[in-house]
Amino acid sequence: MLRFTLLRILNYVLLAFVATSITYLLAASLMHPQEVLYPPIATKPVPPATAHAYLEARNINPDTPLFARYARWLGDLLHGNLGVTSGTDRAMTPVLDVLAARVPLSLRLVVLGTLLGVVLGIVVGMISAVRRNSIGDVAATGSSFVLLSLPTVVVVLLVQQINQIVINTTGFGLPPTGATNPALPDGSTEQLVYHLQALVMPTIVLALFGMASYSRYMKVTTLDVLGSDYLRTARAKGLTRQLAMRRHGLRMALIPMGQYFAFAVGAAFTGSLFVELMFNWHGIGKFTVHALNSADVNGTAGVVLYAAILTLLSATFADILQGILDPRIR
Amino acid sequence: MTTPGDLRGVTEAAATAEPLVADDPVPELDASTEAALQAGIDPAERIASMSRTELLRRRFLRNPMAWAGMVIFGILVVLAIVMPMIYPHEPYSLDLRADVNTPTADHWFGLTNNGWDTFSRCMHGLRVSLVIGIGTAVLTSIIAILVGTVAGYVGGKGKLGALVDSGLVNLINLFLVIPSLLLLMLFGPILQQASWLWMIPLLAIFSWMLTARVLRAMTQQLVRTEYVEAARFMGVNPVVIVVRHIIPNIASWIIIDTTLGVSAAVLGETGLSFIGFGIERPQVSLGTVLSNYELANPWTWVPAAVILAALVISINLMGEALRDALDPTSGSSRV
Repeated sequence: MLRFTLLRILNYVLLAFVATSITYLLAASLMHPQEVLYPPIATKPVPPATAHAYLEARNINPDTPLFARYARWLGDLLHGNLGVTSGTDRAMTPVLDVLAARVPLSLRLVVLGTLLGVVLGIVVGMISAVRRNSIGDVAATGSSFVLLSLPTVVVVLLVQQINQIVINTTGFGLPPTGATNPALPDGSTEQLVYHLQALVMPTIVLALFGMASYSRYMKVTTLDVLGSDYLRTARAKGLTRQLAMRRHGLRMALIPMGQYFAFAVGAAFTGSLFVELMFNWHGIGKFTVHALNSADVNGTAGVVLYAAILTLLSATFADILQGILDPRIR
Repeated sequence: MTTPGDLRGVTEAAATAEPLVADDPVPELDASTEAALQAGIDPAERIASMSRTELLRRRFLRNPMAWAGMVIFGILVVLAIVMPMIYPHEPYSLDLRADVNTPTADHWFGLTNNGWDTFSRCMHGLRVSLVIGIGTAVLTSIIAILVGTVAGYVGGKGKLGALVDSGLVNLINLFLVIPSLLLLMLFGPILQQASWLWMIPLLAIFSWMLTARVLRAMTQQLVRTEYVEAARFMGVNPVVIVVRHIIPNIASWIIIDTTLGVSAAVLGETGLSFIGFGIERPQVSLGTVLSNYELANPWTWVPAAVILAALVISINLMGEALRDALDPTSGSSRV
């Protein structure tokens, strides 16, 4: 078991490394951050020495071979240094600082949304499998079918528009955009209340998508379990339907769900990108768009590393979860 | 589970031939039954020897979901073709005489704040989204079939085969780990400068992995069957085996996946265009229309959202109906 786990983790780490490397090489060869030194961005000529120092400090000198830049980036990475933001916006913040400032905000969103979505999805999926063809089942299945046919942005717009209508009619509502209110002092109770209110709408959107997809999967796996022999045996032994389902069925139905979970976090990363963008949260998603828009090579590579680590953690977590749920694997 | 109308014994079919023809959704079959009767062929024989294609067609057409999907999809395709020809405004033309941005007889869905006609944008966007969706789905399936069947077929064939198989599996895993949205954002604007059609291969490259994984597993099972073994021992070329014996057996799954892939591609393209890394001026897609949303004026985004939802839902309905027709046993696990 230990050897299996270690090999699995090693494989994941290798994949993360290759993924990040490929992205770095692609970003470094496709982006042109040096454009900031030339017109139309630069309004007056930049002395060659200044230009050289500028490019060297950011490790984006196009005269240095691509693999030499990659080697330098890799060496820095081994020292726990992800370089500095190198885009056309001239700011030179360490990528690690940017990530440290933005990751908590994004994780709060992703974790809260995913957890809520998973729990609600499992409950809804199980109920609609047990009470098949009831009104609740038809409504749940139909609405998740419609929801999964909509892009994230449309659901965000719907939620925002409803909030806007509520604000227009009653005068009260949730904060439309932004994670914090710049007018309030940091750390005050009002700020905390504002932040909690601001958290509601993005979480609803992410949880809705999680719920829609998880309830579909859960319904399928529960239906498989419901037709199984061991559940009939448990019922024949005299267990009530509810107790048999809780003690024997739920566990078996949850086993295949573990694998979906690994991909769900990746999907939540993508989903949170749209959510952050449209709710104007200064998280990783917004930084990603900014980094790509401003040709920030180091920033892009840093985001990929973050996403890869997130996927790895959740994949490992899914494996562990499966080991706990399914004694046959242990 | 086979529904009663699908398979009947010959005698039983003869006894029930009349009602079966009566509730037949395809009218021209009536005529053929008449013809068969006149030719002296027992109608039961015709039903008993109904081809698989005919069976699938009937099962598909019996499903109301299929009809709903086909009708909505058909309407949208006709709109996308006809409307840009007859509607007077262009997606990026400005009407300086328009004084309100809500719908009028001239501007059916109103205007955006910068004076672009929403209806025209929606229809041009629908065109682009349809082309990209269908193109991407087909290309995705081709890549997935290539990788999936090759990996599944060579997997059990000696050391070299296992090596190729594990290499391909790792390639699939690698593409799954790479945040595809990020790379799409990286390539999108660069390829846009050449042509908006580049979006199709770009989206396809990042969406074949899961299909390929499933196809690989299916191929692995099929390779172990007797008829594939027999073909191998007869010395049939591996490529011919895959084309003749394996692909027909996984074709039903591929058809379903391609259908559902259209909606996935439409959604992916919408997301990418929305954040400004997809379809750009002078082209317009439904995602571009959505990105010019104004909460103060819902007419700017609601029509595009409704058209998009109708498109994706109609495709998904057809996909689900196809799944039901090809695999009647899926009724137990249908979601």
